Amino acid sequence: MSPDPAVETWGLSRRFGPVTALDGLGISVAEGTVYGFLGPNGAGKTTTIRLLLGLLEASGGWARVLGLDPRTAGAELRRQCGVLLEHPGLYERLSAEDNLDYFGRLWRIPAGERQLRIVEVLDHVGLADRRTELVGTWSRGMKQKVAIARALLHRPRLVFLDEPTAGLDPVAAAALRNDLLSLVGQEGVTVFLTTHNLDEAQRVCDRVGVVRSGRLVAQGTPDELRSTAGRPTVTVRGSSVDLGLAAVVARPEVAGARIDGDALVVELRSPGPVAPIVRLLVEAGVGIEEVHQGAASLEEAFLALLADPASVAPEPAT
Amino acid sequence: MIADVIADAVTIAGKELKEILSRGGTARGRRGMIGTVVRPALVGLLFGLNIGRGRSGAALAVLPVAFFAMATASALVADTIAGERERHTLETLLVSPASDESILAGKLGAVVLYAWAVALIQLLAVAVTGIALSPAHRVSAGLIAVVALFALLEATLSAALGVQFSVRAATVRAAARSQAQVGIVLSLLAGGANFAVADPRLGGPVVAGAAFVVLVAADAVLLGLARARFRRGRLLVA
Repeated sequence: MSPDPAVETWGLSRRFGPVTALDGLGISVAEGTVYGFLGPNGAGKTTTIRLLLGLLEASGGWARVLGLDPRTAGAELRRQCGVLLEHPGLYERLSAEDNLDYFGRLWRIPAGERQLRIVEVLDHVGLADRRTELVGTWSRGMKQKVAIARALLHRPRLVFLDEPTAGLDPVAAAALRNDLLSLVGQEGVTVFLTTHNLDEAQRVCDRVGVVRSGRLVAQGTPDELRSTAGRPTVTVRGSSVDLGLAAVVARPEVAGARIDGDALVVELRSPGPVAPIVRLLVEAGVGIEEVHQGAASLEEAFLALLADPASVAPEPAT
Repeated sequence: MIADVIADAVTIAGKELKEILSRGGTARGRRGMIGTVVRPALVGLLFGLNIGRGRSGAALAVLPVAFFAMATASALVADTIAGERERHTLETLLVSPASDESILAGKLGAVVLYAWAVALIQLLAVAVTGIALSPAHRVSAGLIAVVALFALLEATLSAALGVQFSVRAATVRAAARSQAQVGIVLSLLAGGANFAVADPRLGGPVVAGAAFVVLVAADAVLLGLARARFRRGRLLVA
């Protein structure tokens, strides 16, 4: 991990009257990575983004974003950040170009560079030719593309994306995700992504954090989180699979095995090579037709974490 | 620092005016622009036609102009703050580096400028109509100047009052509903002041001077309150 994280928090908390929206959040996001912040509705994801951008004051703990304190340098850090909220937040009575020009001025992009950059980012999302049209008449997907262009207009070092594909159909969501990854790859920015879409998180995130009721319950790479939800499995389909059952359970790397229809499902203690198990089954007389390695999905890991009342992630070392 | 606040306020005011002028019109705001000029000119023409009828002197004809400026500002300020929240554009603006002061100044500036411009067009129409059709009841330049000044002060008063109700209102309608009760009282007071100022029999310059001082003080208090209340944290958790 980079010695200078793009985002770092310790004990970050926020209360609204008697309600604790965020409780002792400790995360660290390395520069140039995509960090997924996952959690159900009301878990504290949006509150976290607002705290990190200096829009709200923390009730406790601290945060550093791009080396700046959001409480005292909110304007300066917002200058270096791009933000895409759940809603596109476009002025519908204005054209796409006018929308971007407005925010380009607020981010103090010089006039000549601003016009070139507007065309460049709209071209990235395939809307440069339609930049003079009023955005009010456009589809949700097109508006969201303009919102992404706006978030990246001023070449931010860090981009916050709050549910960027919420409300989009699967095709539009996939297209938007590709546009986003392509842009992020070209611009080399750090991304802080909140999403309900765990498949999306698994595809694009280098690390993820899971938050529940304002508390961080897990943090790690998607693979690390998946490994917490269940052991890796090997499913073997074919004939006479029952002949292999007794043989495999005796192996030290096997935690258990069961017959499921015409399949033998072998649960491993940890990820490892399956060739020895396959060889053993062949020797035991199993007619193997198909071997499938499986692991818990991020969604299964997420649901398991949310269901476990005892789970709380440790604070990162500071 | 102050230059940055002014630059951002000008940018925000420009966007607000562009949106106001494009209402019900085209992307370039041609119809909105025409409406901005033609509608108040027609209203001013109607006021001017009444000069000399019954007890209606020139002063009474220009009375409603300042009141109209208040009503215009009241409607617009709710749209620029609560309306932005309703349309989900407010938070996008709040994540920009623009300061709270520049956002407030830009929005108030656009609203007051528009409302005042409408009042000036109305005044011009009243004066032209009065001069053309009722030369005996000539509208004096002094009266026009006083009403123009009061229109500016009352538009500012109404806009600053509107901020208090729009900061936490979820919708334009909710902001307008809360503002209406206080706004009616304020309108009656301002209307009374206008009447006293415009009719010399009720006091003339002395009353005008007193009303001016009260309006300036009220504007200063309400603008101060607006500045104190217009904070990102407050705007977000509404």
